Amino acid sequence: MTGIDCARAEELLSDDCEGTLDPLFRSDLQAHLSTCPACRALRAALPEVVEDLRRVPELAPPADLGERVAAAVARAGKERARRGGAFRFQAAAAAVAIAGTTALYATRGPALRQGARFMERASNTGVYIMERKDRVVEDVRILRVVVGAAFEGRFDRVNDRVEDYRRLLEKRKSVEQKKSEASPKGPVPQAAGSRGTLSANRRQFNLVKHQCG
Amino acid sequence: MSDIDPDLLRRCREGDQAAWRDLVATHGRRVFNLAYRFVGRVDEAEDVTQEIFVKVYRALGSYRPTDGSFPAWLTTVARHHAIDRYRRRRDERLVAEDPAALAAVPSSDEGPLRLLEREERRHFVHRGLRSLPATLREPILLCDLEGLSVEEAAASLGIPVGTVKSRLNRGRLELAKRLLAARGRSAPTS
Repeated sequence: MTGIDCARAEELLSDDCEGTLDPLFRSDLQAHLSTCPACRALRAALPEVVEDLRRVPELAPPADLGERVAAAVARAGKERARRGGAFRFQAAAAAVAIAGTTALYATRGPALRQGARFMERASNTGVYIMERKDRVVEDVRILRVVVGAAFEGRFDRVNDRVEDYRRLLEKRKSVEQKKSEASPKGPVPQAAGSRGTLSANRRQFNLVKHQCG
Repeated sequence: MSDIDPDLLRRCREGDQAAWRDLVATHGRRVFNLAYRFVGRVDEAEDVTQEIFVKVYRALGSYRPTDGSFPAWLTTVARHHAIDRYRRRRDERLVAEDPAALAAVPSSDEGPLRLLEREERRHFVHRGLRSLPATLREPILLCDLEGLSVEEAAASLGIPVGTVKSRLNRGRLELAKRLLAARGRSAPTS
């Protein structure tokens, strides 16, 4: 048999049903349908399906649809006005801020530069504090071990941990002392310097942690 | 061609409630039926219709009569909203066909038994449509229920024309196979 198979026939059925199938393919399809009852049944059912699909009831909308839509539109309008108002307020606030900054800079230039220097120092201090937080975290961890041991009722271990913590504080102090001696300006908080101190602390902390088991 | 009163359009843009009632009285039926064809339930179609008109209110500023007729523009907005909503929610639920709406098809001069059979078949086909995979269902919704051409459906769905044709064919065939299987079950001797 040299004709088309069922899968190929199925591909052609919709076009055949709509009358848009190429005559060449149609003769192949007809030949297949004449020998295949399953495809023939499918071909017969297809127009019924399409007809049923297209026969959708034309419904009347509910009587109060207009009222409901009008109310929904009114709500949407209020929402739009509220958002528009908020946007206008933000735009006005931004404009006032820009104008105020410009005027201030024009009239109080030196004072502003001084303010900028102050802000820079404040920012450096902030960075320093952020880096110090690592040390606080270490302290909290050790204290947690101490408290944990205390709750276990093992006061000998509590004493060991307190001793560990004392040694850690001493080492920190000696490292900072060495650093302040090396620096002519003294212990000024600098990000790079504190980073070195922190890594030394971290090594010490690891050592203590190792000792604590 | 002026298919909508410019004054009505202006009042609708301003949010005039009476104008919106007039607009819905004129175009509500078309939008409601379009929504119904997508969702298959009267109660849900009411909600979708309301959403569509709110969307129209928000988009009304962009409508220019030179772009085309107002009903065509409205139908496009409604159809896009229906497709978006349908795609958002297609995995959330298996839509049950609304029996009340299915009974609302105008009767013909066929005999009562034949009419009943046809109604049962139509009910079966529409229920089957709701359970098809979304990829097969969307082309059927647009081409068979909405009456769009394959090219228009392809543009609405953002897929090639050939893909729409192939999916349309596969969707219809699937429904036909189910119909034949149901007939085989209900009338084994025939």
